[in-house]
Amino acid sequence: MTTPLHVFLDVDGGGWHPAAWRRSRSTPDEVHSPSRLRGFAVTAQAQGLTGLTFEDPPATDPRNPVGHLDAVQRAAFLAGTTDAIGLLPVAATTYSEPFHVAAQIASLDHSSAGRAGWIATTSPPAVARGVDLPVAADPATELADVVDTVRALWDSWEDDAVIRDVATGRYVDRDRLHHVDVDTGRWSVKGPLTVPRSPQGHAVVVVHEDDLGNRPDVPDVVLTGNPGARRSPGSPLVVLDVEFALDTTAHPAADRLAALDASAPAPDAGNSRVRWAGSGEAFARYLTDLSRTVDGVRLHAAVLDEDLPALVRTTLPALRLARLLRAPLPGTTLRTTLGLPRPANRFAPQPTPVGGAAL
Amino acid sequence: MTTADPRTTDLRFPDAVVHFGVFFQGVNHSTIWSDPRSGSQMAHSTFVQLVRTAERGLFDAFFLGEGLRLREQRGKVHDLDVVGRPDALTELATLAGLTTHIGLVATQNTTYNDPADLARRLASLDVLSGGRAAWNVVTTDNAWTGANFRRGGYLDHADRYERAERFVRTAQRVWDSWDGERFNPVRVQDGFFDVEFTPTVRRSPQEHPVLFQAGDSPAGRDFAARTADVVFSRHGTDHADALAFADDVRRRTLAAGRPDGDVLVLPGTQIVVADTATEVEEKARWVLEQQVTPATALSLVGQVWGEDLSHLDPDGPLPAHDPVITDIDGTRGAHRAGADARALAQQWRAVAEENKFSLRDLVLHHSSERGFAGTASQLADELTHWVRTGACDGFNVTPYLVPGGLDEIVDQLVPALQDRGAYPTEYVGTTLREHLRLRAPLTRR
Repeated sequence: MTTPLHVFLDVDGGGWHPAAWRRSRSTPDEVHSPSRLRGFAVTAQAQGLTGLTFEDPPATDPRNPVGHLDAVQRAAFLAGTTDAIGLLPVAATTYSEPFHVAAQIASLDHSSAGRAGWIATTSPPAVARGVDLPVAADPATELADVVDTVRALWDSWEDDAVIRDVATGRYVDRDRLHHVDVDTGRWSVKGPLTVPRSPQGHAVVVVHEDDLGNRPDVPDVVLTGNPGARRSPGSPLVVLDVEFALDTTAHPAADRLAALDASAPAPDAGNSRVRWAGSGEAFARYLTDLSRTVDGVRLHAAVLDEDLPALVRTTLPALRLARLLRAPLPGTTLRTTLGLPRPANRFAPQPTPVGGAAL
Repeated sequence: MTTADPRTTDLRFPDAVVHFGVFFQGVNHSTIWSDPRSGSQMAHSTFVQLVRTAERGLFDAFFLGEGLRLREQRGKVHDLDVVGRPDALTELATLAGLTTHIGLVATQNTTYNDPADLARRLASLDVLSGGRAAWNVVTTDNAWTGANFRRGGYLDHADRYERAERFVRTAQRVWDSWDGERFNPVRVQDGFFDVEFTPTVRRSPQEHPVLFQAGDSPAGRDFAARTADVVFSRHGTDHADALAFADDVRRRTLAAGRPDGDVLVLPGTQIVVADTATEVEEKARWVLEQQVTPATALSLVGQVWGEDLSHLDPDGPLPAHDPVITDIDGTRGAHRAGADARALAQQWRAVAEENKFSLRDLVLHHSSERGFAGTASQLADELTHWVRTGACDGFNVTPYLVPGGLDEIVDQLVPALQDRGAYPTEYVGTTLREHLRLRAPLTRR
């Protein structure tokens, strides 16, 4: 039995290339249209992808007429019209309120019946001016503290806190609701959260290696731009971040990229993502090779309107044939799809094991 | 058509129609949870059923409440009422994907949010919903709620509307940032905010989210008159009181330099519909008794007395002693609350003695004047009278049961209103601004 490759697709705007919107079939006004977003979700779910990710770059070219919608809002918009695919928005940590982030992602987990993930990111220093805060000295530590706080808030309601006990008139058992009393030394959060514990307990927490600092235990999934990264049991899942451009029926990938660069040159790929261009069949072989070393890939299309159809036509059938693409079942949680356990609640009494041998 | 009603002679707005919103509060004792028909307060299916019923009934708006700290007494979470609700904007984005016309109103706090972030999330919902987003602007002034926030802390009561107004001004600049060619940076330095950022969301079909405001104090009313499109009022039970409030809002709106009718008034209310007079009375009584359980009655009285009275007999008398003035949580002006509480307790004891009320009878008595109860025909006449005399522009209804509590309104009351020409028979536009017949946003005129 082969190990499946989890394929995530990012659906931000026109695509990863800064000139992508010029090649989109949509006018700039339509790039973020609800129907277009829904179309990507329908395609991705029908193709058996594990999840959609929603990037949210903090700063953009003010002359780029497409702009960006809030990632959590876009993910939530799709929660009611999809039933199998994971929904993983970015929510930044450096200057945001952990209480708000915890409530937003928990709500997404409720409305998607357990398909929420959270890509926790750091923000560049320029964002500090937007919120009237000093520049964070150590964004990686800040991220770890925020994730810890959010996870504590996700545990602040025990799963069975709502009791609806008519005899005593009590809707909740107040002993199953908890102050979290987080205190990082720089700030504190009291709790409990205003949102009850969600279907997955904790949404799947994803952090890019670049943002991770010295706390590898923080995420459930690590995004990496290192093609040599390898999965290892007991560690977070490893997902390679890949920007891709494919040959279309009309133009080879290299020509397409050259034409895009002529409109707006793409920045260097850097070390945060791998950049790949070529035929869809060759891309399938590349991903098949990767399936031996990583748990998944996150794909960023150069131009979503062009590269997603090419991916569907030429790459995904080969992965499916190789049994590498295993479609999530409707009604299953993202944790189940990824083989991640549902976290125990730190505040709940630990269940007594009943019979059976310990693993 | 009803023409016999003598009251129709003084209709100031003879063509007015009723606007309906539904208010999913999520935390209160008006939502009955003990009945077998009461559904989950969190399940996706609950929200979908409610919003689709409201949209079938041509409601203008679906409202979500918000609180940023669970209510507590003596260090423990209040346990008698429904509690626990989704993040408003996140849930509304999901509902935007499942509806086509109804407005989506998020209650959001100006004290514990950043304008750049909140304005952007609202703008995103507005784009994703095709111009159906609204923001119910609320403020908080206590450090107790602030304990949930890294940037919490105390905001002086007098400053909170000042901050709220600056916040809204900054948000409006975010929504006006795209000029057709580029996103213009927002630079604000006004004593409350010192920020600089470049927005990223283009304009929605309704240009700005609709602004609701719910403050009742003079400062709150003036803030609404200067800033809001709709006032979500508490004056939804007594006609004279509602009319006085609406006239006050009209006066303040004109004083703020805005045209007459620029600010709508939608009081929150409850509506109970039944087929006959007897059934109306029985049903209203049933709703009330489910809402004010014996434990809830003891809790409400305990809040006035400032102590735990859960050991008392709800069918016995009110406490004989006066409320003790104590510093309940150290942040909430407990002394004034104490003095008010003593006067209220004396008043309650007088009413109880006069009517031979038990403790729970007294609470039931004081809770019974909440909203409307009647046959569909009676209610249609009454609500039509309210809007055509200018007491309000419509009602923001809190269903006493979720998710089925709107059914009787949509299936019985709405057709009766339509028969009177006092309710739309279809959505005329696609945006919330169009449903409410609002003018362009204040900064876009």
